[in-house]
Amino acid sequence: MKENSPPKWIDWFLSWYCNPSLLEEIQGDLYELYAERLEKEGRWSADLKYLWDTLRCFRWSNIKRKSPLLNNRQGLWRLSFTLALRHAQKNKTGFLIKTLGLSICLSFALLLTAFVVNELTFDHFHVNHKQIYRVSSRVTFENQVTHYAVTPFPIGAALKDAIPEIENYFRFTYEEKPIYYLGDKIFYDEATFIADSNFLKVLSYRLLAGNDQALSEPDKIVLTESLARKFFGNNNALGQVVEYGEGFELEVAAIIEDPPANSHLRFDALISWDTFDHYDEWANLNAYNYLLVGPEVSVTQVKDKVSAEVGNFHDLIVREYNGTFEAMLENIAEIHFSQNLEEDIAEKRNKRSVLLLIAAIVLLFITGLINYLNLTLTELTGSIKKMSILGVFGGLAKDHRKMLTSETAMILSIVLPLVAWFGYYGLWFAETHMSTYIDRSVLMNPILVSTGIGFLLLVFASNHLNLWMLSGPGYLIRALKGRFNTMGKGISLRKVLVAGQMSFSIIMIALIIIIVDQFNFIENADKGFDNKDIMVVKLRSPNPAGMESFSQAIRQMDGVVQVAGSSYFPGIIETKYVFQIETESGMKQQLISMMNCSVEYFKTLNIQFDQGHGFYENRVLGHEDGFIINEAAAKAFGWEKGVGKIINGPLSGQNEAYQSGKVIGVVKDFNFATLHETIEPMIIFLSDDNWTNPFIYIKTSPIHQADLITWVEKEFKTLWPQYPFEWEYLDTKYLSLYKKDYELKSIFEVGLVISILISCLGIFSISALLGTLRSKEMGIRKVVGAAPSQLFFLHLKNFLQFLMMAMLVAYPLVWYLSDQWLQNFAYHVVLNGWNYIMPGIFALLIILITAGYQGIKSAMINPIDILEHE
Amino acid sequence: MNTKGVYLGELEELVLLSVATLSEDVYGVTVKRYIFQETGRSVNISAIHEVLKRLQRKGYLTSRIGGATKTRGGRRKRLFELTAAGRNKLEQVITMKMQMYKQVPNISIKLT
Repeated sequence: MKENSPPKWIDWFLSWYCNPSLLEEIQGDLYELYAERLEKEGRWSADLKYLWDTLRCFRWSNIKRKSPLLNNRQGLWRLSFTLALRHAQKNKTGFLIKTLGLSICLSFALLLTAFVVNELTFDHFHVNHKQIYRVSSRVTFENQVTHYAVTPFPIGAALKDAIPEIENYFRFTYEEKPIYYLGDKIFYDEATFIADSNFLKVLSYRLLAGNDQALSEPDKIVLTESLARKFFGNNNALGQVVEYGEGFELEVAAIIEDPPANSHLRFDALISWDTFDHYDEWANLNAYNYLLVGPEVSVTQVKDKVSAEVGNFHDLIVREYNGTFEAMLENIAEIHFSQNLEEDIAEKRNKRSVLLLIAAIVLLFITGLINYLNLTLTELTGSIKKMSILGVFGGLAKDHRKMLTSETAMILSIVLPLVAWFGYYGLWFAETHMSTYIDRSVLMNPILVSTGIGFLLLVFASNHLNLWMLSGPGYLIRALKGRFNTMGKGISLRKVLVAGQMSFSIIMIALIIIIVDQFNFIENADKGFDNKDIMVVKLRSPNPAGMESFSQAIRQMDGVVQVAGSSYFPGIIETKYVFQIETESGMKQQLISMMNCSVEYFKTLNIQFDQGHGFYENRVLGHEDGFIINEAAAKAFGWEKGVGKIINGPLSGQNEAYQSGKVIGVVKDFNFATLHETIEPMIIFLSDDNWTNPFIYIKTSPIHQADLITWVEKEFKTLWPQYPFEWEYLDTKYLSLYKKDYELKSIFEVGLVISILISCLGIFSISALLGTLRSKEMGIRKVVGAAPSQLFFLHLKNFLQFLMMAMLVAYPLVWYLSDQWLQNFAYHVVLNGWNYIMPGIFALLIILITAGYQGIKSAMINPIDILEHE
Repeated sequence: MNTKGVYLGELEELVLLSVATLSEDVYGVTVKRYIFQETGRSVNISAIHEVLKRLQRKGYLTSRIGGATKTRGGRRKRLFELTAAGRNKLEQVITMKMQMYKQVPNISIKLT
């Protein structure tokens, strides 16, 4: 019949310009005429006349119009919206799960993205951060290499003068919680830097009052916005005077905006450098020095020049010790990810964990998306017959797509506010429970915003793609014919993803169990000392007589078992000192940790002796008491029998030993640091007037504690009214050392909840999908005589396969990941069979509950409902 | 579109007559055929369509969709029918013409 139709291209032209409502009748008439002419006049003439007629029909009244259609379009949108709403109401659970699931996944993914961006832009706040470098010290001493974050005071200025490529420098020292007096109020929790005048000029802190000359004169202080408010309320802080430490009066010379959370420089106040006398010593590593290099300068060149210059000062630095000094440079933005140096004030983050987070974000997002699509697909599958019939009767694909768009838009309009709410709540939660601060400026970061938009677009697009595929004519025809049971490729992909989600949950469950195990281990492990019922008071005064009378007064109190003093307290920054120790080849110098304490110390903490004994109680304070070392030290020095060996030290600058004596006892190792580190060698000697005890340990009986604290405070205030009363329980302090690990635990707990939620969603969505697809099969089976329980198990069988697959993938990962984390601890738990079986059981439970719901539904279907359409 | 008074154009009259006369399906092609048959005039189909539409707008015809055939490739026709107003109009116009014609001297047509 093809030869009897008019030329296609003319037809095409006609259908292109012609108003669709008139097209049919006009074209019909033209076809009829064509047929007549074909018979009477032949093809050529018929074609020609057809063309002529078509051209003649190109009249104004026949051409397509836009304006009347516009009104229709608006009406169509409103209609689709109403339909979408009605659709949602019809299937409330599905709708709820879809939107909630998508919102949770999206908000979590966005939160993690914000966190990642926060970490990756650490210190990017400073405009010229690419040119700012911190100088650090690499000291080699007796074959031991130690890398310090601190440098000699004068090194920054010296380097700047010597090397032209360095434009500027700044330096500061860190004061650990100094005391501020404001009238009769005392503040002792403010992180303080003592900074020189270039600090504000090189870095980009915004001045709210005052100018950047603020640190050029002595006795000046710069406050952050929050501190100014804390000190002075809403009054103007500029020009006010604050009393500091031992009689310094500081004038507030400037107020700056609060520094961002994602910066390694965390401070509340800056005091000008010239307020104090600094001995421009080269021999002490005390200050943090930073350099600003010129804009187009090659850093390697600068580094080489620095090494050369340092040679000039080298002898000044290491004149007393037999060692070498090297100056290293690292860019300010890399400090956050680099290794933790000695006396480093920066908070460190492992870069690998950030990359892991990125992977988690992608997985999370894909998971949420797939769940959403699955559930949408399920709903659609139920109504596919209806859709295909509509299609046959002329429902235009365009209009159908419009309906889909409006439905997606409606869901998004609910999801977006939910995401914003979840996100906000998540940020708050992170700050309060996990002490993870995400700077608010990150929320404006282009990367984050574009990621968010990208996520949304992907949801939109994939939804459309999915449904568009389904409305294609080929699909509809197959649907009508009833031939579309498992949809091949699409479903396998989803199955893989659900298995992936499940293995993720299994990993999470297993890891949480391991973490909890490790924490129990930590709490119950033998630390080598007893930290129960001990409160520790911090003394700021260096007055030894005062300390002694304080200790005496406390000893008299009711409920006090023991009182001891020490220079050491968990968590303070340790300094190592040089000692001379006896070896077979004479006295050798070594850098070792040390502690001085009072006689009762070992008894108070119940530390056991391996060899020898403690300081005699009836001995008077003097130089002859000798040293005590721990087992690790004995091992490090190569002494089998430590008692009797000679030690000199600590050595001062002029190579003079403070005291010289014999080892009188070797204590069993006690771990004051966390179980992350192996116990280090330590030398202990008796405190005296020069080496005092800033920390007083008070062992109490468990009953009297509350009252005791008030009495101790009263005693403290009697002796030192000008100082704040600071105290802590030793066991709480000890646990707080594990802060980072507790944070990790919190993160994992949250992660566990989220991953279980997602797995449930995933299983639910796939289960729903399979249920609908196989409903016909189930119906037939039931008719043939299957019992509901059999159908239930049939439905579950699919998921058991998932479980097997998931476990296969998860177990090696659990082993690997837990190994990695446990390696952080020098002492840790060992995994056993239960660690693997428990998560499996949990996962099985999850499957039973979520898939079971669908399973029961499909087992109880009335076969008539399914089969009556056949 | 408002009609400019009560006049009927020449083609309009022809088409109206055709619609009034034809007993079978009245649509574009049949009207064109009938006009050719009666007058020998070959009117372009688009003109016929236009006139039919205009007459419908004036209220002299009604239309409906119906009747697809294979020749038309399954496309349906728009079928027209005379309204009462259309019939009246036709009679009015023809009567008027006859009146005028009667007054011409020496005509050879027999008018009844």
